[in-house]
Amino acid sequence: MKPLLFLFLLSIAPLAAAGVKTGEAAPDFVLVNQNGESVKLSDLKGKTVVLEWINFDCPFVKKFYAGGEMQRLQKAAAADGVVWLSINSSAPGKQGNFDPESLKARMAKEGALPAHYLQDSEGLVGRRYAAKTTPHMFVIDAEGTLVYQGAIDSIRSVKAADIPKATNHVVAALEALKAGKPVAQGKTKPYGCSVKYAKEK
Amino acid sequence: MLDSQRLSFMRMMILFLLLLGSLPLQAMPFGGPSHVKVEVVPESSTYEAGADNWVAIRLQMEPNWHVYWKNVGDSGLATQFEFQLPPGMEVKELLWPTPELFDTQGLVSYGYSGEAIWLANLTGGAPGQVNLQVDWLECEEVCIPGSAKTSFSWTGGPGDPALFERARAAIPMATENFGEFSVRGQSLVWRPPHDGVESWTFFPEDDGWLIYAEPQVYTPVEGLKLALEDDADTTQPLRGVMVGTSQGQVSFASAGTWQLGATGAQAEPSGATEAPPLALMLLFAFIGGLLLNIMPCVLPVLSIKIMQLLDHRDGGTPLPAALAYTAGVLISFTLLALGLILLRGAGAELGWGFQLQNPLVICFLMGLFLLLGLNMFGLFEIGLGLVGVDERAKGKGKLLSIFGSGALATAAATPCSAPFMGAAVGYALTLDAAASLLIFFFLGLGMAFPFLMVGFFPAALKLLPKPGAWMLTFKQFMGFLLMATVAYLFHVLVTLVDDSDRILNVGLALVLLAFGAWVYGKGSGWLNRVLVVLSLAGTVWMMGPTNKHIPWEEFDEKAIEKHVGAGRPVFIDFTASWCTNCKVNERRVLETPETLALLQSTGVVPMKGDWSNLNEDISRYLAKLGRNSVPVYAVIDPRAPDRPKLLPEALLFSHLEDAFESLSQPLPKDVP
Repeated sequence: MKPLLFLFLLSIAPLAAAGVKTGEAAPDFVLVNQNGESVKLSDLKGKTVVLEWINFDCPFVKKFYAGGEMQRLQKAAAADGVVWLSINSSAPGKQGNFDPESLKARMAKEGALPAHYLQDSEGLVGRRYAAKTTPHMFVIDAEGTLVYQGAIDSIRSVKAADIPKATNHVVAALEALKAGKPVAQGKTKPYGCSVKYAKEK
Repeated sequence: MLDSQRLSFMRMMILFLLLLGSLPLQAMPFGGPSHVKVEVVPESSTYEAGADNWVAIRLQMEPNWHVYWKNVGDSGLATQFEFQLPPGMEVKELLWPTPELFDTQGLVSYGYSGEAIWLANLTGGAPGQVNLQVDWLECEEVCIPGSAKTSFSWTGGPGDPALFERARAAIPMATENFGEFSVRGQSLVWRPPHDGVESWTFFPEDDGWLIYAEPQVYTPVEGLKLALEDDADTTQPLRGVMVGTSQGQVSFASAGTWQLGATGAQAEPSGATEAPPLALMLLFAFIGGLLLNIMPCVLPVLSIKIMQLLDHRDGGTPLPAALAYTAGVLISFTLLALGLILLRGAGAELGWGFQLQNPLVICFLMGLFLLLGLNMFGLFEIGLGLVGVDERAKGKGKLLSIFGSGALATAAATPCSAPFMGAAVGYALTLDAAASLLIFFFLGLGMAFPFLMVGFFPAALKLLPKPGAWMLTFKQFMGFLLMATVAYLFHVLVTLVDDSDRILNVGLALVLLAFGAWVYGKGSGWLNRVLVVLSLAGTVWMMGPTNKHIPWEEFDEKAIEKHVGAGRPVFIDFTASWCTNCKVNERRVLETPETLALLQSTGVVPMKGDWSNLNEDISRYLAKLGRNSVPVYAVIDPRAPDRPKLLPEALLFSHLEDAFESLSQPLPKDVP
C-alpha cells in the first residue's frame, strides 16, 4: 500500500510542481503556430506578451469571440506592441484541437487576430503554466516576468451581456504595464471550460 | 437569438400546461441540445404563508454529464437559481445536495451527475405562481450552457414523498467544527471525530483555500491531508462540506464552518501562528523522549538494559555501556529523521511513525517483539547477542550489542508514541531540516538520559534491588508487555490491511515463528537446525502480501444498475469460501497485478458476489444467468446490460483480456 502511494505521489510530483507564481519568470517554451512556424517565448523579450488559453468550441470562449470582444482586445494589444499568443492545449481528437488546415479556416471564420495561435497538443506548456480553463489569461511583462494570471474578467458567466458590466483584468494589467505602474491584481481565479488535456503519462 | 426562441417556446408551453390545468408544471423537455432535465415539485399540496413550504428542484443528468456545485473547483460554472415570487413570498433557504468530485486529466471540479435535488424553503406572502429560472453548465468532455424556465403553484396535486426523502438523504447535515482542522505548513489536516468511515473528501465552499488538483489523501493515522493554496488566508473560517464514503458510497456528509487551529499544542486563540522558540521545542522534545521510556513498548526493552547495567555491579564501570546505548539511540533517531526529511523532500507526505504505514514493517516488528517476549519467558536463549543478554558476549561485542539495543529501543518507541506525538513531530518536520534534526536529536537524548545518568553516577545502581530470583519473575512479566505490543501492532495492521486472509496468515506466521524459537531452544541438532530454518522461511513467506489489491465492490443489483447507467462495464466474480475452484482462479488469475492493471485500463468495475452463505439475492441472480453453482464470471456491457457475458469456469487471464477489451469494440450484430 505505502510503496504504491509513494509511487503515486512521485508520479504527480511534476504536476504538483507546475504553475508559476505571479512575479516569477515566465517559463520559456517553443510551440508551432498556425503557419507551421516555431514561436519561442524568450525571443519575445522586450515586448509585453499575453497568453490566452483557447478552445473555440467552449461556450466561455464563444462568449468573447461571438460578439467580437476578444478580437477587439487582440487588435488593441497589437496596436500597443503587445504580442498576443492564443494557446490550445487540447489533446488530438479532443474538442478544440484542429489540424493545420481546419485551424486556419476556423480562425478566419472566428475573425481571430492573435499574433500567433499555438498548438500545445501534449499539454506540456499548459501544465507548466497550470492553465486550467478556457479562457485562462496570463500577462508577461517586457522583462519576461509573469505579472497577471487568471480570469479574463470579473463576471463568471457564459453570457455576452455580462461583458460590459465586468472589469477586464487583462486590460487592467496591460494598462498598468503601459503606464509603468505595478499590476494591482496579479492573480484571480480563472473561469471557463476545463482545458481538454491529454491523458497524463 | 436562441434564447428568445426558447423563451417564447417556454411561454407557449407554460400556457399550454396552464390550459390543461395540469399538476406540477414541468420544464424543458428532455432531449434537444440539453442533457439535463429540470423538474420542480412542491412538497405539500397547499401553501401556508406562516410555515415552511419546501420545494424540490430536481436536475437529472444524462449518463456521463455533470453540472456544478456552488464552488466549481478548477473549471465550470455554478448552477444558478433565480426565483420570481409572488409579493411577500421569500426564499428562506436553498439547500444544496452533497457534491461529487470529478477528476479529468488532473483538473478537479465539484458537481453532480445522475440526479441532484435541491430543496428551497419558501415562506411568507400568499400562494401564487412561482417562476424559476435555472442556469447551469453541463459538461461531459465538452461543455454546453443550459437554462430552463419553469413555473409552479400549489394546485392541490399529489406530492412525491419519495422524491423528498431522497432529497433530504442527500443534503449534508449542518454542523460546526465537525472534527478538527489544523494548518500544517502548506497542508490542511483534518481529523475525523469518529472512526468507522473508510475515506473522507472535503469540498471547500470558498475559492482560494485548496489546490483542487492535489489528491486528498486520507489515512486513519494521519487524517485527511489537503494542499493549501499559497495565499490562503487561514485566519478566516473555512466553509465547506466534509463527505465520508465507505465502500464507494457516501455514508455521511456534513456542511459547516471550521475555525482552524494551528498544530498541536501551539494553537492560540488570537490566531497568531508564530512558532514557539526553538529552545522550548527542544525542551519539550527532551521531556517527550524521557517519557518514551515508560511507554509499554519500550519498557520491556528497557528492562533488558537495566539487567545489562546490573551486570556491572561487580566491578567495572557501566559508563561504556551507557555511552554505547546513548549512541545507539541518538544515531537511530537521527537516521529516522534524515529518512523522513529525505522522503518528504521527494514529495511523500509522511509523519512520525510513517514506517508503521507499511504492513511489512509492522509484520517485522511483530515478529521481533514476539521473539523478545518468548526470550523473556525463557522459551529459548539467544545465541549471539540479538539484544545483548547473552552472557558469553563480552568486551567490544557486548558494547556493540548494547548499541544495537539502543537502536531497538528507538524502533520500539515509534509504534507507541505515534498516536501521541504525531502532531508535535509533524509540526517539527515543517521546520527546516536542521531544526527538525535537532528536535529528533533531543528526543533521543531524552530517551537515553536515564542511562546516561546511571553511566556517570553508577551509585544510582545501588538503588536498584540486588540481582536474584526476582529478576526472572520480572523478566517474565515484561514478556507479557511485549505480547501486548504484538496485539497492538495487530490492530495497526488490521487498519492497514483490509484482508482477513492476510491477517490470518500473519497470525499463523507468528505461531510458526514461536515454534521455530521453541525448537531452537530445545537443542542444536541437525534436525533442530533444519526445522528452525524452515519455520523462519515459512514465517517470512506467510507474512508477505497476498496480492489482494483489487478494489472489489460488494455484489448489489442496484449498484450494477447505477454503474451500467453511467456507462461503466461491470465484472462480477461469484465466489464462495468453500469453493476450491473459485479460490484457485482468484489466486492464479484474478488477484494479480495484471488483472488489476487490466481493470484499470479498461475501466471495468470489479464486483464480488460472495455466495458462502447462499445469499438469496445472489441465488436469484445466478438463476437468471442460468447457473446454480459457483464459480460464475459475468461481464456486463452497459450497451447491452440484459445480456451478461459469461466466462469459462476454468478462468484464464486471456479470457478476461478478450472480454474486457471487446467492451470498447463495436457490439456484435444481433442475429435478427
